[in-house]
Amino acid sequence: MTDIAIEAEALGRRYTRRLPRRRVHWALRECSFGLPAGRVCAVVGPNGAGKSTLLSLAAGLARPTEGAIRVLGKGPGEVRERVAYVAQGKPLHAQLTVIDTLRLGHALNPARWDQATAERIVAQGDLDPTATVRSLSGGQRTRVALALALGKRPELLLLDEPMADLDPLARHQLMGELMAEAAEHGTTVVMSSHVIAELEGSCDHLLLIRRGRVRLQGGLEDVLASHTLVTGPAEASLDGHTVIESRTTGRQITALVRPAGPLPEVHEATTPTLEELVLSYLREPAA
Amino acid sequence: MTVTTTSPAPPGAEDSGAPAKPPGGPAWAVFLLHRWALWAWIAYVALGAGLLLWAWGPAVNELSSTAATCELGGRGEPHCAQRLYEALTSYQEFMRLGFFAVLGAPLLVGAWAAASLTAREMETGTADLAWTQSVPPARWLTAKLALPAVAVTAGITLLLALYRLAHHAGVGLLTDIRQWAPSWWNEDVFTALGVVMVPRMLCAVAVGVLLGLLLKRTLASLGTGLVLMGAGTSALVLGRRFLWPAEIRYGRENATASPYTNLTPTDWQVASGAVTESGELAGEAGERAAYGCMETGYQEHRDTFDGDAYYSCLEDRGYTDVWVAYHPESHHWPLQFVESGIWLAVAALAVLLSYRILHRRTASGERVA
Repeated sequence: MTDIAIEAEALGRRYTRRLPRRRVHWALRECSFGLPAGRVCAVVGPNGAGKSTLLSLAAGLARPTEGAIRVLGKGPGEVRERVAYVAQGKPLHAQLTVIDTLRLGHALNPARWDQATAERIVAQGDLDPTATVRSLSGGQRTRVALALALGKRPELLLLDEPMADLDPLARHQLMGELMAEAAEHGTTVVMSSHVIAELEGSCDHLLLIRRGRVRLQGGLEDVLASHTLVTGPAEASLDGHTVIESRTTGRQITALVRPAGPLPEVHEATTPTLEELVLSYLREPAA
Repeated sequence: MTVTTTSPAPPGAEDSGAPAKPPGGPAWAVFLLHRWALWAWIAYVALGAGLLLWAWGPAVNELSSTAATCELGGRGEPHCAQRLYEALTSYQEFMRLGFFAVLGAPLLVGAWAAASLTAREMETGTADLAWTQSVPPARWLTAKLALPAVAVTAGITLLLALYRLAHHAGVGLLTDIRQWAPSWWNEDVFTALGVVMVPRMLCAVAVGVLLGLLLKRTLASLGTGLVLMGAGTSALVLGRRFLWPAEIRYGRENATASPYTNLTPTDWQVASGAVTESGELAGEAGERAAYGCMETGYQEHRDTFDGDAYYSCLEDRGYTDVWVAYHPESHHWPLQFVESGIWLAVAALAVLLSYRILHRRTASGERVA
């Protein structure tokens, strides 16, 4: 087994709209990164940053326009068996019952299907297995979609905004179950989100994408440790340090910096939270 | 002291009600997703089969017994003509409805395939779900094509077989009573007693699948599928006579002004006209000239045809001969095969394009450099 779950090399994906006017749009460009296996990795970025494109490339649902992506050491099309993907809209067949949806998973993954796991996920959600998917609430649908994905016993689980349409309680519960399943089987989870709160406490690796490019990547602790949130007088110099974002309130300045050495003593320095870090990067003016 | 431990239930032993063995792969998945369509198709075939069975059994029996009593008792028996007429109409009506069931099937199947097989999956995103399972997308597409193909072929074959039985059971009586029976080139006989329906059905499935992949929208695909199948069917029905070179018969060689009078009832006349001096076959204009000279040809001897007068009249108008184009009965199978070949070629093209589109949309199994 390889240590890198997803590896991208100068990955680019272009979409061309032909009608009404030809328009070319790069959803991803020159993305190079490696996501370690056995981790829970967050792919964060604003809407339209290219998160969904990245995940669908990894899931083998699109071909890179340029560059290459390797999943579990192989091309995405070669590892369909070992990878599960839950798309943003949680597409499921509305006319099927929950039981039949799991049967479908069994039929399409005959070699790997773990009925017990899939049923456990469904059972924890207090929903009628004979109900059709059409009649389920958003949270229940997400649960069924996750059951379908986890029933496949994937080595890599790709989740595109998995908790976006859930209430906080359901989100918390489902996230907990998901993390427990992942931990039990050593599943690598790659999850995109713009709700940073749902990532805190569950993710240990961060990939930050902005305008189709990788802006920041690394182990969560390393990333947080390499940044400092400083507060101090506005006139004090931060020269020599990489300032990601700064805000001035009266005579005070608050800035997220990547210190290149010791910071001036006039500043009060703290380690940023994940939320502060991500928000700073998202607010960072375009280069 | 003894310690009793309860071993946890092995995975899969929990009460599940789910099948213990893997159900049969993508084919089973396609069945699971489209079983209502399958039931609807079975119901449709059953309805058509019912109509044709009724024509084959009760309607033919009624017709033959009525015909027998009317022959035995003489035409003078009260209401005999009326009863015969009713029995005949009943048989023909059931045959007509049965034929409509056959003729309508590709349109219905085409509309369903276009809307439901792939378009809806593209629209709702469940195609992405299918393409990220262990089963490769190409096998998913194969199942989507093959299962409906088998189902529609089986259904239409049953309907065609019953139509054939009912037709042969009644056509003799029809000929006896009406001195007429539909010929091989009549639309109902050509379509329902031939082989064109099977390729037409297969084409409906293949084109539907392609449209779904291309348009990705249920309604747009459904509409386009209906229009294409309707237009394709109409074009081939109207243009059928061009699918095989027609035979030509001339007037001079038979010493007649109307060469079609030499045709037998099984010859399918498709065009007529006159031959210009340069040897071209003129259609409408030639037909007018030939008709105009008819009076000359019959003028002097009212009951006999004066060929010399007729043809000199034609020559005055710039024509040397009259002609008729027709398909003899021996063209039945060539016409069937050419039409079938066109449907199959379109179907094959649609299948090929579908696989190519799928291949371009998804990452394939091949290694990435």
